[in-house]
Amino acid sequence: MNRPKQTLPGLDRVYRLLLKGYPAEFREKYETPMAQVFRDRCRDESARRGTWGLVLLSLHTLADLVRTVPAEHLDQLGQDIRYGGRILLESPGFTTMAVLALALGIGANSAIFSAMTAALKPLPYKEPERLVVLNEPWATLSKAHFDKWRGQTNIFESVAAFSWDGVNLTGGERAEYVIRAQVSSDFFGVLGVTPSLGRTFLGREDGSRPTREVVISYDLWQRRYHSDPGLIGKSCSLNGEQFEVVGIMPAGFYPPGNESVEAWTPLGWETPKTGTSAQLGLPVIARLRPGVTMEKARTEIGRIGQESGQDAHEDPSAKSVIEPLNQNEPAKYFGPTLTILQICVTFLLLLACANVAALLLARATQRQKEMSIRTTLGASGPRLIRQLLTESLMLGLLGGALGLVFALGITHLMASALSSARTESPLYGALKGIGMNGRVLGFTLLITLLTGVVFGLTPAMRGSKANLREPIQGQGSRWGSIFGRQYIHSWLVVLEVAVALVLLTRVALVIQQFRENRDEFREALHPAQVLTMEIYLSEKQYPDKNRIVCAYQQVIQKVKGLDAVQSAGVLGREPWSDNSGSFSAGGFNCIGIAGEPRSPSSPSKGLAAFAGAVDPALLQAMRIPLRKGRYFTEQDLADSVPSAIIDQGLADTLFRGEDPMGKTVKLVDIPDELKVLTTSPSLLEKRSQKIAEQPGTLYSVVGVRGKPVGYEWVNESLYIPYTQVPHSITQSLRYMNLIVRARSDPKTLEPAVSAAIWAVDKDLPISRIRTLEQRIRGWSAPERLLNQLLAFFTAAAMILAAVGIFGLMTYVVGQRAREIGVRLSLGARPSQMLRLVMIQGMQLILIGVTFGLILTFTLPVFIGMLYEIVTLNPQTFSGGLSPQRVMILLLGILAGTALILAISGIYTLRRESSSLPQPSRGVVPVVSAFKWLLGRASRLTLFGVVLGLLLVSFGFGVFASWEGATMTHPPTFVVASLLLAGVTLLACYLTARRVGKIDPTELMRQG
Amino acid sequence: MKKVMKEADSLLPLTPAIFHILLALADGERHGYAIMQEVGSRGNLRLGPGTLYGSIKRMLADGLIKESDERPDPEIDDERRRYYRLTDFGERVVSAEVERMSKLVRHARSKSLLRVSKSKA
Repeated sequence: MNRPKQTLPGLDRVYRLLLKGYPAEFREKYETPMAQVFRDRCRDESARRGTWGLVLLSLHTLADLVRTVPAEHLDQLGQDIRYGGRILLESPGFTTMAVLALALGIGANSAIFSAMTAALKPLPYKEPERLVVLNEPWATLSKAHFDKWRGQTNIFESVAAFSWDGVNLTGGERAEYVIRAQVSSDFFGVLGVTPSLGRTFLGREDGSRPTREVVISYDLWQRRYHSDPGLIGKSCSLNGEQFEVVGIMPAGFYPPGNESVEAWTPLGWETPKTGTSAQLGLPVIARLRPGVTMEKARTEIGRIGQESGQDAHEDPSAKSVIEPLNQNEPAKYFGPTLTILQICVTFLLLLACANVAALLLARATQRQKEMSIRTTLGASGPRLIRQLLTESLMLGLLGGALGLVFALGITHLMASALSSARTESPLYGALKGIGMNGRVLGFTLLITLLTGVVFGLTPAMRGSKANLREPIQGQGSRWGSIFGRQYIHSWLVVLEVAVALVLLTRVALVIQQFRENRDEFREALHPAQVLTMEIYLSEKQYPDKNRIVCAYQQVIQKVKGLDAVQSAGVLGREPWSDNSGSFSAGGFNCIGIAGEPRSPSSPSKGLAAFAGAVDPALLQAMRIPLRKGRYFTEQDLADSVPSAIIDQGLADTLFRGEDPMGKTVKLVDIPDELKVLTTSPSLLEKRSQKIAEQPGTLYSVVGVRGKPVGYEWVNESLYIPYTQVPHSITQSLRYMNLIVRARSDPKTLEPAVSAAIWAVDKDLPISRIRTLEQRIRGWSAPERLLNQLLAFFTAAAMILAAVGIFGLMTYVVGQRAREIGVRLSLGARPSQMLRLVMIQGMQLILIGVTFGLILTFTLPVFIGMLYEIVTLNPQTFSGGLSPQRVMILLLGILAGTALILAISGIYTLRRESSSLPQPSRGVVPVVSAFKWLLGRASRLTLFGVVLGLLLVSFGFGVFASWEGATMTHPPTFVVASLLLAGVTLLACYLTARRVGKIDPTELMRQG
Repeated sequence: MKKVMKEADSLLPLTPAIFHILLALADGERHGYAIMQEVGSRGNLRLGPGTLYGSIKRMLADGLIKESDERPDPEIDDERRRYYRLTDFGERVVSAEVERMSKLVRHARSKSLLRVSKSKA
């Protein structure tokens, strides 16, 4: 009988502990009777059945708890939701404003997140993280070199080489030009992709004489062969040679770097792949062995370089020889724009949150009476916070739901804008998968909940601290400075001003840069009048340069003979495209160029550059702007003095400020042994010397053209008449753009031009027939779209900020109505009051503008540093995390922390010495004092670290702008500041005037 | 009256716990543990404290019961206990529920279901 009695207190204690799981309100009312009931039952059960009875009772009670605790919470949530719903419905104006602001913020975020996930979608290969690219822009790959890579079985599981070109596919209704990749036999194995029908290549194809087999893409199979399952084993003709179709790849498969490849044939090593490697950009791909890191692979590559006599190991840039495959994706180019867009929408959401928080704060003051009454009726602080947070979460969820609709609209708009632009930009491939999916929905829900808490928490904390006397005494209206009673509102004004300014200036910079890039050629070209198409002359029918030139001359003559044609010509490298990702016609890139030696002691340097063949008359007809000299003329023929037009970049490099006109440049076919995978400085030097020493074809510079702004990363380039192309690189002439300037609408010209070409050779494939306008639009469509979105979101952010600031200032000034009343009744003049209020508004604006200015310099650097620290990536846009930078960073953080600690130390000594816990009633004073200090110190250190980081980034930012980096856009900054100041002052003025017109005694009575 | 009756109907059917608590209080006011004992002695429904007080909370909110102001004789009173009694509305609701159930029983009987179960028993 004794034992159960002893267990009673233990069970009772456990039960009381478990009761804490119920909501506080329920517990307050029923905790005591419930514990009493439990004790009664324990007593009876132990008397009746002893220990066994207690065990059964415990189990039963536990089951009861498990069932009823969640039920009580749900019940309370239901109550909160019903109450919250009623409150929200009671003020539809407030609810609509808040939900719209949130929908805008959340919707913009999920739309951009959707674009980000689409652009960063994983590559369609097996374990893409183990794929690497062995890449060197000017290299061509020899079989021996390739075999060397393939021999590195300790690093690479498999290695494949490939190149792509255009081929003429015949043997159907009409000839078709398709992009073909020539691949080594392991190619599909490296990527880990199997065909959906048939097989890929067997090992035996890697000889000097490749087998005549072809694997085609799913699209080509559908389009040309109408998904004929019996196609395997049949033959088709590529460039007049018969190939057997052995496999069909699955839908959506594309080789790295080029989504338009539609046929794969075995790579032959008998002809060196001159002139194509730079266009490929990806001569070799490899799959790392499991467990091999990038670092290890890099070290090994360095070792191989050493063995072959290159000192690559000391050269940090040698890292670029081997790169993870994903870095070669289009996201690399468009990542920055998308990142800016993501930052922009984050700011938009921040502004929306600030606005809703301001609305809630204003309401919290209105609802103080309600809160007082509820507190009097027994509602606890946490209970009220819970109620208010439920309301803000409901607002958030409503905003999120509407935001999702908004996001769907934006993504739909983006997708249709991109597809209608018929764009060839690599970003299109990345963005066409845009849309809603589980990840986007999850993200939206997450930011919705986060938003609800972020904007709801402060108002809820304040709202719940209902002071029973305050609404009656009306003390909520003291001076509203940023340190006063209304400091939250004032800080919100400062925050909105700063955020809006930072956002606007950054976006203005981005958009300005984009416009500059785009407009350069458009002004000169009048692209709407120009029709372009690509033609290809196969090796079989046109074996040598004479025949090729003759064919082009005939085609041009026929086309020029058409009535509606103003001028026509052929052109290799397109001057208006950025040449990334797309197959570019007629560019023979791997060419050595050297200027004439200035003196025997200082020989000229050789370099590798892009070069393009062009119809002599075309540059002028196309109105491509020249900075100096003349265009080619009809006299620049095969047998006349070879002449070249170079771009400003090449002129600067070769002639270093001297006038290039009349000087000679030499075109050299780079020797194979120098076309190797390296960035080793010594090898580059050797190549430069070799190019300078080697005999080549000499060209006299007759003109200099501007370099397209924004395409600085495209290497120097040079144009020569196609009739004067050296014999050694005739191959590059096979594939050219035919450019036709029309007298009227160029689209109507298409059939006539095609007929004229086919009159010369009925099997000539014509592809990509577009107007130049379409091509340029196609290239820039995704960027233009992103910029439009950027502009739209920024405008939305600006409106949100203006509305928010107006509302906040109206509220802040309105809160001082009572005080103004008192002052007026004591004899103050209305104009004095007005000035007082305006000065307060100006103060806030000034602080906001200052913060905005600091942040404009700080934020880009800060984000860059964070990015570097998080990813530990040494190759980022802000120049790498060098030891000096790390030192400065640490010093800055240290300085910031010390500063904060020092200030707080002085502050504590002067003001807060009394708040140190006093020894009292058996508490160990040292421990509690230590705890107090620790808590305080950790908080201060955190502040210090943040302040330090900001200081350092500000320093870097100012330094960078000193060195010429564009950090801000002064006109936008000034205009935006003035605009926001105007809004603030207007709000102050209107409210002050309204308040001033009310009778002071009335104001006093209102309280 | 009609309105009240309508409200009473709107609460039906009652959950087993609420129905049993109302029945237990039909004889007069009781405290929580007494209700639990009464319900336990009558059938196979064992109320846990959570279910009991959760139901009491809802019944108070619906006006079916109210907390009694009258305390029993101080000698047998424990001041931690709370006593509850039926309201008029509560009485009407429980009658309506009993009426509903008896209708169901009559209906079951008309289908000769009750006899079958009796014979099985």
